[in-house]
Amino acid sequence: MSTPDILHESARLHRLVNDVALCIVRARANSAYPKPADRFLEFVLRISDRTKEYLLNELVHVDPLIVQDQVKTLSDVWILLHDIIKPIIDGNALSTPYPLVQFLSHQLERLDGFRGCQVVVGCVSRLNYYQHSDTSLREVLDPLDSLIHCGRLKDRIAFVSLPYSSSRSLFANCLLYHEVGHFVFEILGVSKDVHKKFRPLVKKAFSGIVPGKTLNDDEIKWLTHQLVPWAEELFADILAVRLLGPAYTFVAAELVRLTTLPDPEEVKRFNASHPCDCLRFREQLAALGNDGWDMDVEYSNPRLEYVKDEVAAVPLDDYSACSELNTTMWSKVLSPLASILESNMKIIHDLVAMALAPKLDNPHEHYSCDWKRVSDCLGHGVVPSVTATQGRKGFRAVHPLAVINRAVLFWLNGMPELYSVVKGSDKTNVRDRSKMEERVEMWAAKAVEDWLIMRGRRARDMRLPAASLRQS
Amino acid sequence: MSVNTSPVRGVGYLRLTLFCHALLNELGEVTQQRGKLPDRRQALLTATDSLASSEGKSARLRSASDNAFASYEEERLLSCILAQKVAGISNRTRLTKSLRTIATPTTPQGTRLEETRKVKAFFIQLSRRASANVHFPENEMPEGVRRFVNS
Repeated sequence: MSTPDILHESARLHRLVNDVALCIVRARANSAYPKPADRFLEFVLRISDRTKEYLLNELVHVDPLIVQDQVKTLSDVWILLHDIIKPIIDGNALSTPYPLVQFLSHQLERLDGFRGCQVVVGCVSRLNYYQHSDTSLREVLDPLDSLIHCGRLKDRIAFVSLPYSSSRSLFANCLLYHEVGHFVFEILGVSKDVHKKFRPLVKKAFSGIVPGKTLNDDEIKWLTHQLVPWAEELFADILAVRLLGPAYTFVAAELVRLTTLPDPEEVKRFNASHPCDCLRFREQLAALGNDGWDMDVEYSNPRLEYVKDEVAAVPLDDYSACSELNTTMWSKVLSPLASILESNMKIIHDLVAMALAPKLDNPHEHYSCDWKRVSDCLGHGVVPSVTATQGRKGFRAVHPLAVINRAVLFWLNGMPELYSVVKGSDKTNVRDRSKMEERVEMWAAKAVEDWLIMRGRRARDMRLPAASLRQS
Repeated sequence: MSVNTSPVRGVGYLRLTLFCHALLNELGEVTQQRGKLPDRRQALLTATDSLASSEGKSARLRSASDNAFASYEEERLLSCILAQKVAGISNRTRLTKSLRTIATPTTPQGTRLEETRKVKAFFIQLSRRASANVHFPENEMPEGVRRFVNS
């Protein structure tokens, strides 16, 4: 590549970096951001300054053999950042479920090794929830510091994204717990444990399958590597139900009904990154049972029945591959791996237990204390913030784990109670139902927020937009 | 409930490419100063420690993210380039020895220059392969597994 070409490429990158920085500056001037998101955006501005300085002053000293490679590599970094930044810019304080995220951060920080971790929520255009890997982003930004001296990210950040339309929904956003499960998987390096625990099982299983040949270490490693993404999804699900409770399973079941009906075969299919929903729900129900939730009787509702009877009960032999997977690859390699995973799920449950030990706040204990109070409040259209105690203060805040789990169950089972209390509401009218359901979510979200306020967590975590700071 | 799919799918490869360039800049300083010990040696030391860590030996890395060959894919790519014997470097021990020679203050300038030339050729090759994988990461099936699948 000639010097003019390199200059052209460098100028193009310089312009991209400038434009991204301008978007951030404008967004911060006009919107309030939760502090973790704001600090990250500020850090990106620093990277943009250093990238531009590097292109202007330091690239001339680089070995001509690799100048072109280096400009391409910096461009790749900015292609990655470009994708990550947009959801965060869109995830200002008004677009994200602030009380739930604050409570989630509170729970995350209580885990061993997660003190100071931050949750940054972005908004995406798709009707789905995402996690952007913190470790992989950090793994890019740390060596970027070695190259352009932009500094390093100080905080561990869980980047999660929700659909832009779901900012007000407390219930749907319970799925964020799964995304935080991915973050925990990464930070604790659980993939190494999965490799370590499953490699001997894979070796044993495949030594009998491959005719006349013993697979070498590299081949066993590769095979084990194929089941790591499935193990990660299951880990994230189990961690979500153990941190939050059945609210996660109910909401995930809603999503499955929304996205897989009318094709019931879809829930039996594995793809390259996700195990089938049958296995995922089976393991969630098992984890809930172990934590004391009696899923057969106490929380029964039509949606849960569907999950239990038609999804989680599907046997291993009926599991199949989605169309993107090669059928030979599925039958010879992936299906045996799915079978190894399915019959050794205790390993994944144990890895989750290790991640949560020793400080797991069992949601069932909070639920047992306060579910009746939450039900009574919601059934009368009251925010379930506080409950009477026999102590000196006379009342205490209801724990968010009790609020969220009971509110989700109330939404699924208890709405008729509310229609009978609220005058003029017609339970056969879709608009009235939609409005009432929204109210229940709002009351529950307010109760979570009140709990946070009583713990002094809310106000200090917000940065106001530059525009309003100037006005004041 | 998915992991986001960015156009940069091989983030580990991007990390490795960045690391190679930080190292190549330090090696460039050796070449420019005709074999003198470079002022910046952070990437040189990280490379040595990462190689030691990938062989299961103790290393002084600041954090796990400093390990240049932390993931399965990066390790596989390193093994692949070693197998090509670029500039005569065919194993980790040989590569570590060259990196140490360059970073040792008492190494004669001529020897340092010669080792730098070889290590540069190696890491240029590694960075280009890693860079090619950033958008379309390879998940090459090992030979034994491929034969089994096709049998």
